[in-house]
Amino acid sequence: MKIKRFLSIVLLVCISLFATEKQKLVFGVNPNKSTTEIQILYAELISYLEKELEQEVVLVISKDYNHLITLIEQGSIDIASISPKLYAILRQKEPETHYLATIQFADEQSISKSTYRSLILTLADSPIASMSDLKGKSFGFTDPDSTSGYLYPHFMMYQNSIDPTKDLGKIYMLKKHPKIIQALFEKSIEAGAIYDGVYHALPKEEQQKIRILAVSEEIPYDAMIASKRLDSALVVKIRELLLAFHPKQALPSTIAGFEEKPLFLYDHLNTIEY
Amino acid sequence: MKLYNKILFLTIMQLAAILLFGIYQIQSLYLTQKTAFDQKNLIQSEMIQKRFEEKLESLQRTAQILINSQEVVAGIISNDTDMLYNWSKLFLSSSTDKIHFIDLDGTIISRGELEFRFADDVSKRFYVQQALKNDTFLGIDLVDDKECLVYAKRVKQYGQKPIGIISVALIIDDALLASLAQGTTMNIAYHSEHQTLSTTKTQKLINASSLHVMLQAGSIKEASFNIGLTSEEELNALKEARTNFFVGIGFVLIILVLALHFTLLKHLREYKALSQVLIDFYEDRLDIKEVMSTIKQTTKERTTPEVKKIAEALFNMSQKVADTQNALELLSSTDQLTALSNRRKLEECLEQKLKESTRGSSFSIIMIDIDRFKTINDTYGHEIGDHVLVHTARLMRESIRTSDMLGRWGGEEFLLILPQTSLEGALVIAEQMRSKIYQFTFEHYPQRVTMSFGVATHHAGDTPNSILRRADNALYRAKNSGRNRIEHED
Repeated sequence: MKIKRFLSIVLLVCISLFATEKQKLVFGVNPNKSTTEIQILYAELISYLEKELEQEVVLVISKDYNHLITLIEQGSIDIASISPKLYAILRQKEPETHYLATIQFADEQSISKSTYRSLILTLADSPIASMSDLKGKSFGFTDPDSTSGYLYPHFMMYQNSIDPTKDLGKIYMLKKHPKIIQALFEKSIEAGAIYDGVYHALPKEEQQKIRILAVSEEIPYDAMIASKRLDSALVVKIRELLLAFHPKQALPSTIAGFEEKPLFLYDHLNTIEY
Repeated sequence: MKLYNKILFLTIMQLAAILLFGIYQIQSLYLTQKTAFDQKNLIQSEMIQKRFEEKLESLQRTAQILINSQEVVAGIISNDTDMLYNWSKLFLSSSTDKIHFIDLDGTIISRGELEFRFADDVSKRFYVQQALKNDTFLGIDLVDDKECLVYAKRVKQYGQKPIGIISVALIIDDALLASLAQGTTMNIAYHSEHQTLSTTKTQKLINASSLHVMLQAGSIKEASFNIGLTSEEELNALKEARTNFFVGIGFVLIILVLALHFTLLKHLREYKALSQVLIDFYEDRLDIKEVMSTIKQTTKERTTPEVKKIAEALFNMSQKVADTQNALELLSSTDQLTALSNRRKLEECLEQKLKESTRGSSFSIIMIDIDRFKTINDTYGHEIGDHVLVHTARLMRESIRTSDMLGRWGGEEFLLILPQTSLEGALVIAEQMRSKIYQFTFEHYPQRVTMSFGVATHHAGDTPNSILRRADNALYRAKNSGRNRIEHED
């Protein structure tokens, strides 16, 4: 009897510990910026969610874009901010995620926007004057799974009769959008692709040093999604909380809020050939 | 050989032996210390050599670790600058300044030390060409315009298909040299066609030797590492101590020899002075009294105890000689029977008085003769005669002053010299004597003994014979006039 009572107590303690561990909400993001920049970007949102959900929210930055899908599929994360292209790919697979909302970013005029554009850039003093001049030139992409840093640039090149796999010179993967700008200034690459938020966040004098070669159509910002394993009531609550989120100060390139977008905008990305 | 030379020679020999022993000892100590010093330098050189090899091994190890990463391989294939940067920056350390990933065209994909700088062409670099050609390169070459220890290795996918190059480099600078020489007393200098570095401001290294490194020949000409000492302070200190000891010993030797020289001179001078006194004595330049006074003076002076003892012994010996001399002198001037002065002494005294008389000192003499002494001898024998003589002499001696000189002139005849005495004074004394003897009763002679007296006083121009003759004439008259009476010169 004593042994049974003892085992019961141990089991109860283990369950309590497990329950305590599960109270943490794991929030995954793409490594599209440096760790510090990402932590700053999501700090207010995480604090808001922790307060409203009365749960600790743990930020996890995936190793690369594709790694985030793996983490989602493994169930290692509960909610995620995922790049549009990745979400489009994820939607083609067995739907195991809930769409929560699309992130809005404030532009330089502090206007909240839920879409952005991909830019192909070079230095203003570069001999590259148009897309056709990119042939044979070194180019910097962010990540093969990046929408604005890889997918749309490829699409735009094809539209301009440039096969990026053949016509470009050396190609480098720089992961982080701001690194494209820095590498351009260092003349390590001759051209590169970023999302427009990074460009607009630059000081005017640095913007003047850059020539924009191509601008993509509007792309929905990162989608906030939730794991299928998450409790439905919690998913609804998180969605409501996200839609109700308003930062204290809407600065350029910071999260300005969330809104629901039609999912065909993401599915459209799967139709883009590159 | 003189005593001085002997002592000085023997002492110098002893001191020289001590000096040589000291020199031998200090030289042995110096050699022991020098061996320890050389041994320490050897150990330090080996330590630096080992450190250098560890640096090279660290470069190779870092490269191998990175090459073994599948992500790195994937990063090189996909030109994933960011991933390669993130990997390589983890391995930058004090032993690894630069990590470069290079594609097969010789274009840098990523630099661990510079996040945004890549895509430059390094295909002409010697280490890149060597890695592409020979698979690896370990040597010195220019990496980003800095002379570096470089390890470059071809990266292969699945261990077969070459996909690029990794180069791991350590800049050859003052910090590297300092880290190699840290904690040692050695210094390292690096010299090449482009630069010369050293851990010391003094470029000149003592006992310099090259670092034995297995490096491939690179594009940098005349590149070499040398290790050595900038100064041999410890050894110099030892040398200085040795020199100081030698100088000190030499100085002490000179001082000791000088001190010995002066001490010997002082002592020998005293001995010489004493011996000179003795030489002067037997060469008659000094009499015994002068010898004694000189030696006595020596004993009173501040001198060494040994010399003082010898001087005292000599003084005592001189004293004995003087006493013996006095005794002999007394014996030679005394009549043995009567213990009165003998004729020789009387003649000397008379000569002396005559000399003194020239300075105005007058005197008188009395010639005395025992009446009929031959009859006494003939009648009662010589023993009684001698008895009469002895007692007659004693009675006369008792009648004279201490300044007077009474002596036996010969047989039964006596001479009395009276200094500072006039004729009248002499007559008084003569009368006292005559009366005393006349009234004396002899123990072994039953008859009355009488004596006759001839008195003379000193006159200017007298000689011993002239005054004696006058006294003798007076005595003759006294004899002829009936004896037992006193006569004087006219």
